[in-house]
Amino acid sequence: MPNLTTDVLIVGAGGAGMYAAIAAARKGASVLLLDKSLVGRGGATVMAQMTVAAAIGQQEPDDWTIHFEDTLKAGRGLCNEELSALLCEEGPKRILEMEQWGTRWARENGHIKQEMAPGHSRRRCCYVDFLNTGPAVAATLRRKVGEISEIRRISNVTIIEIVTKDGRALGAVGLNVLDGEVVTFQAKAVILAAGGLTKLYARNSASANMGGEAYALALWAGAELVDMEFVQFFPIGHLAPRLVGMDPIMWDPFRYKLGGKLLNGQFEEFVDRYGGTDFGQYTATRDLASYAILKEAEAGRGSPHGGAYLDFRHIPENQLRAAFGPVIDRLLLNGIDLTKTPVEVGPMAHYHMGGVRVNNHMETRINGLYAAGEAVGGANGANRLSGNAITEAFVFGERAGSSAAEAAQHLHVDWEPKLAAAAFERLNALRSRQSSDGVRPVALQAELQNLMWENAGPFRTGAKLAAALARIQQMQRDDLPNVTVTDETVYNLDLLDWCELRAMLTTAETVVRSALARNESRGAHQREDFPDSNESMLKNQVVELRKGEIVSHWTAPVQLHPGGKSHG
Amino acid sequence: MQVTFKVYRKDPEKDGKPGRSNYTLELAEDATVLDALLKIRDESDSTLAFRGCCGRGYCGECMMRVNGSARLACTAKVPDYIKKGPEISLDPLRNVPVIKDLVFDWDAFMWNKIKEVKPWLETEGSPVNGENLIADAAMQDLRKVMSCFYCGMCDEGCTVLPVDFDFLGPAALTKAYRFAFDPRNKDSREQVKIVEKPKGIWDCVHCYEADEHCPRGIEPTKRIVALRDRAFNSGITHEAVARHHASFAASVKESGWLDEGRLAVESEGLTNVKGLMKLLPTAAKALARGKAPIPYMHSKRPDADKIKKIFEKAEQEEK
Repeated sequence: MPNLTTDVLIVGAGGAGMYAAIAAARKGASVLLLDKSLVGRGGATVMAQMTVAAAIGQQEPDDWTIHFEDTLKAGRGLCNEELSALLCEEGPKRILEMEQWGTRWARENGHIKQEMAPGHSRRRCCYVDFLNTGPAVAATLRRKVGEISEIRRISNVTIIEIVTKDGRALGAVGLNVLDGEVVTFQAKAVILAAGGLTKLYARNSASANMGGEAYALALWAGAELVDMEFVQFFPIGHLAPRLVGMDPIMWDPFRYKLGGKLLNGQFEEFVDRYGGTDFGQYTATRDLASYAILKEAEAGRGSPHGGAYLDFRHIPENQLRAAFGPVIDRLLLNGIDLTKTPVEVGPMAHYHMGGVRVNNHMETRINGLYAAGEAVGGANGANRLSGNAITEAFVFGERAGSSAAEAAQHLHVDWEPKLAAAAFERLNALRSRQSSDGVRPVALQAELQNLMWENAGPFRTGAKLAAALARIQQMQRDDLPNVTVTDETVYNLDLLDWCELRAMLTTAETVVRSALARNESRGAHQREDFPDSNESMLKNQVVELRKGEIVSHWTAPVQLHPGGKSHG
Repeated sequence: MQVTFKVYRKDPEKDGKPGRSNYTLELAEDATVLDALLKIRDESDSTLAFRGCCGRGYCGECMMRVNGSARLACTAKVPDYIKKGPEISLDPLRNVPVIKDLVFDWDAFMWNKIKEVKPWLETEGSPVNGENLIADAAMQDLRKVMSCFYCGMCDEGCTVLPVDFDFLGPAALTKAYRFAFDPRNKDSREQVKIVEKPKGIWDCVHCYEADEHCPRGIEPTKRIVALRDRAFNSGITHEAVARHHASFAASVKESGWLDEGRLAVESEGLTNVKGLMKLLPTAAKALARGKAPIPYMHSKRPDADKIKKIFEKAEQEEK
């Protein structure tokens, strides 16, 4: 089996992974940058049509401490303040660095243009016209990665296990989808940058490849996860009519630039009934808007597809065109004329606040194992502000890359081939199975997605969560070992699906268990059987694997020391 | 609606010979080609290999030929392709190494070429306050070019790549333009020097297929022409095609019409003995058939001075 050696191994090549690669290389490390899709194309970054929040203060006076306060407020008391502070303080540096690498942020009057977004107290959200932020920043990072000869890119490799010994990460075992070979990677440091878990949900807004692998890999390797119950549901994801070639969460910039009314099935405004003040002002935070839309639908006042109407008919066409030019034409190609018909929107899984538990160097409790981007848990607490995700990808990516490269200077790898044997055997056992009567991995994935949407979605109850947990455990015990995969080696998508499914089930279990244990409603975690927040639960839930069992404990949120910052 | 998909197959583990599989399936009226492929894989043939990631036309992974034309499967609506009958053919791109079925080697197809033009920004010194401040107007022209999302459709449409896979292609050349014309870039000659080499800008035949294919209206051909102009204006004209252009213009300017003998010799290059030798048979044939005067003399046409003045005026205006 091929064995590759590097200083820093990065799993996942979206925004965070690419930034980490660049940062590690400029500290002198050799880097292997892997993606199970194509490097720089898979993942969520390329999908982000929206904005990047950073207190660069060009639109109006701003300071990172104000951004920090806004982030904490949205996080409902559960933010890891050290991580939030890092995100807010270093965000501006990263925005300007991206500018120097060629990203052309939208500008007006000689400065970077910054827009308002819900939950922010200043206009601080940068973007690239028109709805092109994600593709543009991804292209910048792809080129920058290409410029650096110390970075080796490998596409179509999925990692199935992080190799550890005595509490230290030494590399990983992966499957090369292109030729079906198992590959081992020896590394002084490993960075998990494989994004979030949106693929666990039937209704989701991200790429089709975010199966929560970063969380499962971290857990299996002995690291801890935190806040796994906090999945963000984007309130106004596009439901109908069918939208081709556009991101379902595209309506957010429409709302912050133009307003736009959120109406129920009877064409009445309703968000104010749930404690929000919306009225086309677009100030209701994401969790509140999701709640309002689904409650309205539950009461029989939803739109035909179980959501709400988003209505721009009161806005003149010339205003629509001035703000979104070519996007209006692409909508028309989809048969959507905003001046004539409202669209249907509703919540969908969008982002994961929880994730791998790290310190402010992005390191887990396993030495040499780091996380970056959405894979990291804690910076956004119980609810993430609009615009913080790309900032987090840049900032945490940079921090993870430079920390890992620095650590790598003092480490050597005590590699033994037998460390990779278990993963190798697992895959071989799967491949040698010739039964054709088992269920296909992709069918189990679909079942899990529906199970999670119905039982661990925007609104949860103890009974539903318990049912989900039972079925997940059954799938792990009975179904996963008996799946059928085709016997091909080159580009065998069944094998890839199986690897993904295995991670999805582990990650789903951590989400459901954490949601079950949090007997309150807070931020993105809404329990119908416990509709109120409970001050005694103002704690983070940490999960880990002990003797093959997922166990959890509670811990007080990390706070910045008064009067000073503890990171640096 | 019921549709039959005729899908290109190639399995390197079997005989590696291209073939085709037919799948007939029932689809919703608003289905895309990617929906259909996923359905085929889920329900009838799990050995079918294809790429697909974002599903929304952003990542570009699912690029393939739908009824012969390059499309992203996730944005190709099935009803648009069955107007002549309920059959759709799916093939990988035309001129790329196929790994299996519809999966091809993206790096060989486009990325390695894009990398060759050094598509990164190098600014003069450190920018003030971390920013390269320039007027918005100066970036207007580049804005469209910068909306490129590396889909590669321009390379697929290119008519040179099928005969010469080493041609840099419109995607890479447009990327060179994006940096050569970025006012923040400290040395715009860098990219020009790269693309004026063999297999670069001079190999483009101006068929405008790249412009027809680009989903973002970036007009790669226009960018290639601009790079050629930039090369001329910076005095980088030593490629054969460049010399051809220069000789053509010089001949008309001086004599009022084209001196074909001079054009041939100057295009090959006066020091290019091998190239000049290649011209000999053609010259001999022309002489034998009375197509060339003996002794070889090129005279001015009447009023050649007036033509020269037009040239001089144009050159003045360009400055």
